[in-house]
Amino acid sequence: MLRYILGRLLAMIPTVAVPMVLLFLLLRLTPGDPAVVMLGEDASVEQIEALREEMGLNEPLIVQFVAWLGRMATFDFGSSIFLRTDVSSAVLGAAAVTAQLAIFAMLIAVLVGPLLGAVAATSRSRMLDKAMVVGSTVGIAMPTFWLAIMGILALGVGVRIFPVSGYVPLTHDFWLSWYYLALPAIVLGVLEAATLFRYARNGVLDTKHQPFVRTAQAMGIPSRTITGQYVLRAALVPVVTVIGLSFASMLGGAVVTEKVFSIPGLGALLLTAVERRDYPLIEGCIFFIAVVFVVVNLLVDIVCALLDPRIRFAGKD
Amino acid sequence: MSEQLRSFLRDPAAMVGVALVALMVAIALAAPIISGDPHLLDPRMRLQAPSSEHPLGTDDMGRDLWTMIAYGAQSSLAIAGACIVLAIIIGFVIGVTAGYFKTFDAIMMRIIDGMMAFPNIILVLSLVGVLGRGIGPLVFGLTIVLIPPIARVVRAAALGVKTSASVESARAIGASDGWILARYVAPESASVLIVQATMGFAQTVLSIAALSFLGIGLPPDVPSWGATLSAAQQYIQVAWWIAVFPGIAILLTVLGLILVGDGLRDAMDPRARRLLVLSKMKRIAARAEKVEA
Repeated sequence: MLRYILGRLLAMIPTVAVPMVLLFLLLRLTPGDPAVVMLGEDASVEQIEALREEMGLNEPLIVQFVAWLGRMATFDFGSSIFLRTDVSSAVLGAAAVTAQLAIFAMLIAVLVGPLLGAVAATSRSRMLDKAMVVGSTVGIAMPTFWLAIMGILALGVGVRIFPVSGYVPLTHDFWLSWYYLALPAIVLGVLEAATLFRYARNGVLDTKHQPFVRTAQAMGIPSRTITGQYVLRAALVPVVTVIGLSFASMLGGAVVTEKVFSIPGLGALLLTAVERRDYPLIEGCIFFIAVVFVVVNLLVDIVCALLDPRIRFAGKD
Repeated sequence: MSEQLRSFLRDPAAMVGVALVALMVAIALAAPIISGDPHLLDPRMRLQAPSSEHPLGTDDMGRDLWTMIAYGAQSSLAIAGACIVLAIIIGFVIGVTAGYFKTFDAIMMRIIDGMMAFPNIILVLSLVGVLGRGIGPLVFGLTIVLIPPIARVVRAAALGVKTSASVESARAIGASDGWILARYVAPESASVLIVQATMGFAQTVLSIAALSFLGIGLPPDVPSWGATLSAAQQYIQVAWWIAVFPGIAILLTVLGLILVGDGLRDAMDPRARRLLVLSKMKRIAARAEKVEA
């Protein structure tokens, strides 16, 4: 098991390295002086020269790269030009908010999607199955921000059940904090549930006709036990894998959702960084997102290996 | 007519998709004929509700919303189309090269796996952040995230074809690499490639809308669905039509593309077809049971 985990970890290094190296190269190889862009047109020559020195832009590319690697390896991202604070603390503070939103949304998605998928696949009503499939396809095609706006239109203008904007920190008021995140989490969660629904439905449909199910039926095991214990368990493995991917799309969705609902999370921070072209802050955000992403996927892999013993042994030969 | 095509044409969901995509393409192409001037600002006509003069109402700058949506179809379909074509060309070259050269393959596949795992919109966002705004960086970013899945599909086809008996015999009679590529690798990957391209198209339309909504997509003077929607949030209390109609346009376009992509995949992938047959069998069994009862 340990070898399996180490192997997966090694395979995930490119997920962090590729975007980071891409950003490093693009920043330095494209025309224009990054220092001028960051400080703005009216910065003095001395200021620009000082920033170039600080960023190491005067060194040859390979020297810059080695220095940059060293800083990344020690999690040193420098300080944000715009926020005038340490990048690491800004990113961690915002990430806590996004984590709360993502966990809330994921909970909704995981509770709703696979359950409905299993219901659709095992239901005897053709209409119900069809309607659910159509619903999930619309969910997959739906732009996150538009559903968010429609949510605001329905709740903010129509029935006012949830707050439609803003964020209250957890430390300030625990329950109010979740209450404020309810609408954004429902928007993100429902859309993710649409994807999970598909995988769960296909998984159950596919597993139901596997030889081992027929064997179980031939042995006279009650069909409820077969569906409940064997089919669902086997069908869930692909769903758990997709949850890892869902997490990625949820982080993407978080950027627009946080913008619509004015939530001070990681997506909003990255957006500010991009708008201000604050390079250290962009670098810090992307690095953090990539690392979190790798960790989540590693956890997903471990859960899959626990669910399906075949995966554990596949890596051994 | 091939079996795949027939199976695609008989899929009602796919046909709905084809109709939706055809409708949006028609609106995009006919925009100058069927709608007004997208740059015509009329402050006296701001935030007008739908009427006979403005069927979908006007936006916060007094522009006709129907015109904005028609021209928005033009900009988003044109840019997404350009990105897809670029991505297919580059992805094909990378995939074939990776299929043929082992070292390049090992490095390229690591890079591709790394990129495929990363959230797309965040990658595009950070690239635009580094490169600056404008159509150029936007197309660059959107194309880069489209390449990995395409390269992967082509590589798999190239690997499969490389060891096949037909290629071996073609080589034996002196066929050139280019001929083998055109004759074996391209057709082998085409069927999967077209599904990837359709899904990539849908995803790119969504990304363009989201980025324009965030204000870092298309330049402000280019009409786009996302930008119109970002104005909508501000006026949501007084002008619901700005929030509703551009979103419907995005939804219908993306839905159409996804339905077409699903239909193509079901028609071409025997495994997916088997699932289709299974759900049909399930239906027949259910009906039979109903009759018995």
